[in-house]
Amino acid sequence: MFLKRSGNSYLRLLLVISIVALTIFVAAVVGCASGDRPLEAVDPDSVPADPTWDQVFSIIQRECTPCHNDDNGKDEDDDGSENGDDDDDPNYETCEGVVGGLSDLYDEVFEKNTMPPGAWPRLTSEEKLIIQRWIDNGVKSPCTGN
Amino acid sequence: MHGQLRRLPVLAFAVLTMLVGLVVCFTIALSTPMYSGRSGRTCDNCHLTPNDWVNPPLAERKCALACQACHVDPAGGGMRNASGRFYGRATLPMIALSPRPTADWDRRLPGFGRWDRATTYSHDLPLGPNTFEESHAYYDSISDWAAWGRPYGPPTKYDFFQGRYGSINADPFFRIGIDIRFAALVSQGELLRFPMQLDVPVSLHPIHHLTLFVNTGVRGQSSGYSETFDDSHTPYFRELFVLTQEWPYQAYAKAGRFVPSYGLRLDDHTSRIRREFELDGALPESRVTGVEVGAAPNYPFLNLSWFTMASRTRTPDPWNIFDVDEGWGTALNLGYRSEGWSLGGSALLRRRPIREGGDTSTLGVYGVLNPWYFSRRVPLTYQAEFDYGSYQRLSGRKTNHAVFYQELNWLVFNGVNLLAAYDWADPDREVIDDESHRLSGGFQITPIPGVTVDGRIRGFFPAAGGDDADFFLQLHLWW
Repeated sequence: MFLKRSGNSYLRLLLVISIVALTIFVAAVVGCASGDRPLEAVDPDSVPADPTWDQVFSIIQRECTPCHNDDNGKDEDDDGSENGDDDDDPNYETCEGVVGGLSDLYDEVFEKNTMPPGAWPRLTSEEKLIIQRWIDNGVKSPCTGN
Repeated sequence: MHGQLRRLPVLAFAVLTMLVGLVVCFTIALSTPMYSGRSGRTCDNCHLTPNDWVNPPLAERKCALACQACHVDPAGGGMRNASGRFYGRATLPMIALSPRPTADWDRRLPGFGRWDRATTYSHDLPLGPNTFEESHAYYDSISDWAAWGRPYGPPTKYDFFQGRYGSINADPFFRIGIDIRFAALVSQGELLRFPMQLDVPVSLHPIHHLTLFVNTGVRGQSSGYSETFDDSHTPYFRELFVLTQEWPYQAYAKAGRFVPSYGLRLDDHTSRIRREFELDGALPESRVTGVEVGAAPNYPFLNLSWFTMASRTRTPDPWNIFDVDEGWGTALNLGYRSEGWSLGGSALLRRRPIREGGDTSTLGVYGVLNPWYFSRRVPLTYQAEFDYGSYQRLSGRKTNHAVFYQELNWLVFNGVNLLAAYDWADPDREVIDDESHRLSGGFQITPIPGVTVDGRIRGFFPAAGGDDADFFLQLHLWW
């Protein structure tokens, strides 16, 4: 046989010490809440002061449109039913869809923090700050004419 | 304060799991070591019973628990080699297609008979060659529809020996495989069905010591099939490299497009220990172009790579593996993998302009504990990884992030595995309430080789509120 049984007490001692040390270290790191200020206060220059539509839309395309769009998320099944979204779901595939559904988006992303849904990570601090500043600066986009 | 209070049950679970790990560890210290954990607990997991095998010199050994023991890509993932295929046929499923390890003869689902015909369930077991010289006589016994031919030239002592893996072609000229995952996700009352992975890996091994590996796949979209197949990266080269292997101490070198070797390469690409460091195996953006060298002389292992990559905010060309931007990176992954436990450490550096994603520096430590090796009554496997690193925000200012992952597996019967996993991530140590916890519990059922059903309930607990859960089910077809 290639493998020899490792009954070496030194190795087991090393293993125990390693796990105890790792557990204490990780418990300390995980248990301690990090940071005490929002990103805007910690590093105001971490995102552009006046985010462009392209910067906002790239986030939405990455995080939202996989489900909230016109035709996808609705692959038809054999029985004719649709996969995923309800008919009244917002469509963030277009500028008009984003601007029109902005209150829904704000509610889910900022107020409830429930989107992206389920066990998917929510938007990062940077992504949220970009969208927040874009809204604060007047929702500049091709379809709003500003 | 509110966030901290809500986090208490999650933290309690995490600490409890770690304490269980400690208890198990102390149990090991007090019990009689009997079997190696999971794949390392018994030799005939990975090949036929050795019979009168005599250990060759260390330089010629192919026995290891490093990634390359089971995968064509020495950094792991995807297409399996002869040893990996044998494990997938003999140990993993409920019905085996290669002889079941003798230790597992009675580890089948209650009421589920000895259906497999590959195992004699007697002392008349099929045996492999005892020596390199004997292996030459086994060529005629090979019957393998997924791997054909043999490389040009006489076999070397560093090849996988024919006959040692039953009818599997141990050292084929051409091998084709599949990795397909169909997924269903139930979240907030809605059902999404989508193709998560459609990979067709091909390995061409014209002469000894040289392999061309191409893995072509799609970029799965959770939005559905049409979106996946309309994607600009469907298909694309997920991996494409030239590999020289079959050298002493299982040394190798490869050059091309790949995912850097770092930490535990989980097949759960959503885990934060992968995503947080641009190592999400499902994304084209995680691919880099460079060179990697490594070795696995039995227990220790090492992988070291140097690479260039596309900007963090840009998806590289699907076919042009040299589509990279300014900057470079390097990754080191090393450790010691024994039958019952392993410890490893990783380092990952990326140096690039801010506009390309900025500098990152990450260190990780991970370990696997296989109590099964020490006690047959404890068919558990535990693995954990902790990573801490720095990165640059767009302002150029550096900050730190930290990630932890742990997973406990209970292989109830061959083919039936239960698991519990815990993810924690703090993407910016300076920002309040951006950390999150994820708890997962589920099962993996492998009725026959090549088919695995994986189901998980996942709870997500962000510090900022918005707790949610989903149910994830995937059908994984692999060969």
